[in-house]
Amino acid sequence: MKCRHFLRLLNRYVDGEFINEIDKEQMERHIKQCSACRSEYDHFVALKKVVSQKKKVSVSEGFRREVMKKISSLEEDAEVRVEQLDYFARRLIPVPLMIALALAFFIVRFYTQKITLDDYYLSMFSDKEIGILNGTFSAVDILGIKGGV
Amino acid sequence: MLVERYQDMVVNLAYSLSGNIYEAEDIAQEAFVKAYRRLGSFREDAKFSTWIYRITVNTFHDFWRRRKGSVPLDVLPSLREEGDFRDSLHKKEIQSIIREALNKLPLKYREVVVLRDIEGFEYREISRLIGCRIGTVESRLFRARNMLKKILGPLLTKEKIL
Repeated sequence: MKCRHFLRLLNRYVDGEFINEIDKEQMERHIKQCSACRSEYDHFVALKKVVSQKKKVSVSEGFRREVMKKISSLEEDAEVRVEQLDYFARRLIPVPLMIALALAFFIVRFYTQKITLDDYYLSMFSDKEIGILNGTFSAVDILGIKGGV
Repeated sequence: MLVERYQDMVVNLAYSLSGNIYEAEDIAQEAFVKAYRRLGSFREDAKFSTWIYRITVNTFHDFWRRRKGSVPLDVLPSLREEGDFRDSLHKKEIQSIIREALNKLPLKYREVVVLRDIEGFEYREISRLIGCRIGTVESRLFRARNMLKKILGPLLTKEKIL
């Protein structure tokens, strides 16, 4: 086994990860044969040992209380947002609803009077009488053309 | 209660990454609040510990960016470090040296060493926690250990660990 290959697998060997039996045997043989690589191996093992000795800390007594306080304030904020939405919903929704109803009323009325847009345009060039609003006028009257078309 | 069950784990991970106990608790609190907000997205077939660990690592990254990479390091060993009060000054000194050495590492190297050598995660788990390939975990670990070798080399010799 070459030193370069040994160093590439060194982490895995030290950590016991993803290394097959053949590579493992070759690593062990190489450690016995190569002093430089043996030194690298010894350093890595020693480092692991030292770093893993790092002491744990205990959590402060008020930690859980602080977390629950933050979560509660999240829930309160969410409730305020729902209330605000409700406030605006109660006031704004009726407005578009009224507009929609008014539009529906005029559309239905327009069609029930059987006046189409085509009729209206036609009336601009003919003597045909059409009802506009409540009155009845002829196109001649509207355009002020004497003697008809 | 999830907070009680995982608080030690989360605070210690944050402490290993940040090197400052007060900042570590702030990070841990933020991590729990984020976890609460995202509970709906937690897949029940996944391990909760892995999920909360991932949130903690990401929260630490956000914290690190906000602080522009500088966190006041605990100069003295934290009074809350567990252990026998009879632990010698010598042992406490060693702990301090280890903590300083870890904090000298760039963040991306520090986190793999912490997750592997202190928290004991496998490479596959680490790759999921920090969101990178297993090959990247390996190469960062290799570089991190080489850097630690330079920083802690004298200590290893002095303590006759080597």
